[in-house]
Amino acid sequence: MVDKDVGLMAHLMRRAGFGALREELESRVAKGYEATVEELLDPASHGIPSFHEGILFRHFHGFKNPGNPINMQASWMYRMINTPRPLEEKMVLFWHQVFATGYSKVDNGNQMLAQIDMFRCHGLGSYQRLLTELSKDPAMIFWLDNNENHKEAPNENWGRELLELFSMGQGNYTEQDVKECARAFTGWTIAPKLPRMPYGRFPWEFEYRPDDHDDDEKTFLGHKGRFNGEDIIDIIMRQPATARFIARHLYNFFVADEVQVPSWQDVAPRDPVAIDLIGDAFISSGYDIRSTLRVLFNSDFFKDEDVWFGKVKSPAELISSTIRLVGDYQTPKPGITELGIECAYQGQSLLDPPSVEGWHTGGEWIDSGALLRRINFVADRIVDTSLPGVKAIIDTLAAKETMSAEELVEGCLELMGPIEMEDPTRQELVDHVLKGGPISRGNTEGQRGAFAARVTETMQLIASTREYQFG
Amino acid sequence: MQTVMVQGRTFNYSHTIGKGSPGGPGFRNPVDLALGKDNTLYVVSRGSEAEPCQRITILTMDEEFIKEFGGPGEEDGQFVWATAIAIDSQGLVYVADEWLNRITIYDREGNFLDKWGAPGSAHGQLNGPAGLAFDQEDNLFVTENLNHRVQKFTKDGRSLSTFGKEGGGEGELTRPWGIAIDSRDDVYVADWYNDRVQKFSPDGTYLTTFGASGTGPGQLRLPSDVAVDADGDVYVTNWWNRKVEVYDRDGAHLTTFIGDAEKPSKWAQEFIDSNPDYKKARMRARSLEPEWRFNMPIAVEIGDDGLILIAEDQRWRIQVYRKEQDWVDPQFNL
Repeated sequence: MVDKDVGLMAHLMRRAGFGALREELESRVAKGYEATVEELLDPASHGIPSFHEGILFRHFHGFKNPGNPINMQASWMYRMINTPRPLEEKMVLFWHQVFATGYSKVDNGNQMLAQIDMFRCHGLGSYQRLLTELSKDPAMIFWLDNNENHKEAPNENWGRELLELFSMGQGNYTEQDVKECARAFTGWTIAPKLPRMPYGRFPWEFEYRPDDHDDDEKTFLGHKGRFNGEDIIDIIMRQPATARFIARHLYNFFVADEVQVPSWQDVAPRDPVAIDLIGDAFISSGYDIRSTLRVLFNSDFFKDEDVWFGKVKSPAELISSTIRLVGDYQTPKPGITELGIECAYQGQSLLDPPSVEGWHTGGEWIDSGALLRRINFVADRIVDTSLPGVKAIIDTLAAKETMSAEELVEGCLELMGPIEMEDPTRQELVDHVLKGGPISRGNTEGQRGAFAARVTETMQLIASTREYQFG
Repeated sequence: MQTVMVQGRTFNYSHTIGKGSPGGPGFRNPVDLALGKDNTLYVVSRGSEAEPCQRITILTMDEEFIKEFGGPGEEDGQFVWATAIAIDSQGLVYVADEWLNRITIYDREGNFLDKWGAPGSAHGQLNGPAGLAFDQEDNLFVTENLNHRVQKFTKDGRSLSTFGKEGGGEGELTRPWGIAIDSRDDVYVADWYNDRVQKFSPDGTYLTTFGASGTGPGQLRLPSDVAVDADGDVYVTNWWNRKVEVYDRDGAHLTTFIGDAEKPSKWAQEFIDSNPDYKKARMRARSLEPEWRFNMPIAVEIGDDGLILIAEDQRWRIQVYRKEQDWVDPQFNL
């Protein structure tokens, strides 16, 4: 049976990060749940250093100027695995899902990573500030054609998505609001820059062109004025729909899988009370994401055991948490690109989502092909006894000279999570282990190898369970 | 900058060599360079994980491409993570691989001759060889990124001595990278993680420190390489700050290079001339100045006639400066 405090902490670290090993969980339990939440929310003021980019770029020189999308995906995966600030990085993943921008059109890895950096910088701060930065983000401007949004020839792409996918959701504005929103963002463009060859990329920079901005009066969501982009964002912030929209996104990402975003207009939230609580925190804090998440992580609905292991891990979550568990890629090493590629094979090509709508999440992460891929990915790594995390689990379990099948299964579940498993599944695992006969750590090299094989085989089976594939 | 005069010295920007290319004329993420006979250049390209175009390019100072050798892999003559290059008194070429923990030896044309090195932290073993330099006796000094030390070898790989250990105190090193040896065989080490360069006597006794952590004049962030000229002036690639710092032999800061590549290299100009869209994009750009400046200068080497060569990790080229010997300052009222 899982220790409830450790189980809760594991739940927090899965959702607010990319998982944590047993030792870290116990250390955090000793520190306290609320204290851990505070540290996750504000790592800088708790003395948690940021990820050391220098070490990354010293070894992966091509990651700084990633002409190839595989470089940029690997670069981000490495950060997810090694960040000392897991929630900060998790929020980057969250905002990338909400503000889905794709390399397939932007064709500029540097600028994609600059957007990701912007999420890292502002992702836990003011949502109003974040939306303003997003409106000026060169990758987003190019992705949604705002560089083609001119005073005399407006382009509504950015204005529409700002309302539909980035703030309020369908059903909360009119077509005229979209047109007026687009007019307000005319002149928000990208400055011409040096081309990518012969010396590599130069950064795109936001440029406001007053001569191309429509400064005439606009009517937007019932407000009249000579609005510019910042005014539009200010009005958006004051809409109750925006608070509900952000609350539902946060709930879907951190608490429990919801229906896909386009259905939110028609399908009520699975927990309306939770959405109200999150939305109220968002409004009362002045649209501050950190304050909103503080309420969410400390809420009963988040801590409730009914939501543990109830969310399908996204490929990025599954891969990075597994790599952390087995202790691979703790330092730079060749082959890192396999992680970004694997993530794409599992259905999440980071920095290149299928559309501006982002990925469909929850149960849609899994189909028969993806499930096999997910299980095999974990199984292939959990069986590699040269990896320090795998070796540590085997060594821990080898502390006892002999153990029952129940003890072996329980030990693996504890050290891989802890994972709270339903009884029928647990019994299946025990029955399988029993078929292998008595379990002993042994004394000879051959016996120890056989013991390690029993452990890793059990962990492979656990990797295929719903509880491991969910988080 | 173009020309700067400071304390009796005159530095001039000379020209630029190279362009980005995954093969043939050009470099991709150059990490080190060395000068052979008659100022022949050997440039190590690291490439990227998704674009494994590791190689060593041989070329002349006026950008005549001679050949390239090496390549991605673990076979003899190949490398996984090439980091450093040095040339001995016979013109043989030594290349360090920080992943395979080995030193590979080639003749001057790039033909594989030999290799040595074994992974580990014991005397004679290597963990992350990152910088190479020969002393006057043709002994090879190797910095080790992950053993946080400097190890002195004979050319055939027999360890003679080590110095340094992990830490931030005097004589201690954390993740050292580039290395240089002056005419008196004193050793200069880019103490990367400690944001400084340390100078040691030939037997490894700590002598002095150049630079300190920061972004101001003469201050360093993650310095990657160091070189010493015939006068004892010290040049440091201030990698993270995107500058090159120049100090006198006692550690006093003299000046800072920020990059002056106002004219594209010959290879770069050929590319621009043959690609009209790129030419137009350059004309449309608000300013060409960002192109002049260093982007993570990573390696520095001193050549004949006062030449100072600076390779740029993220601009895939080499900017060449010259320390003038007989500069006469003109009248100011010209």
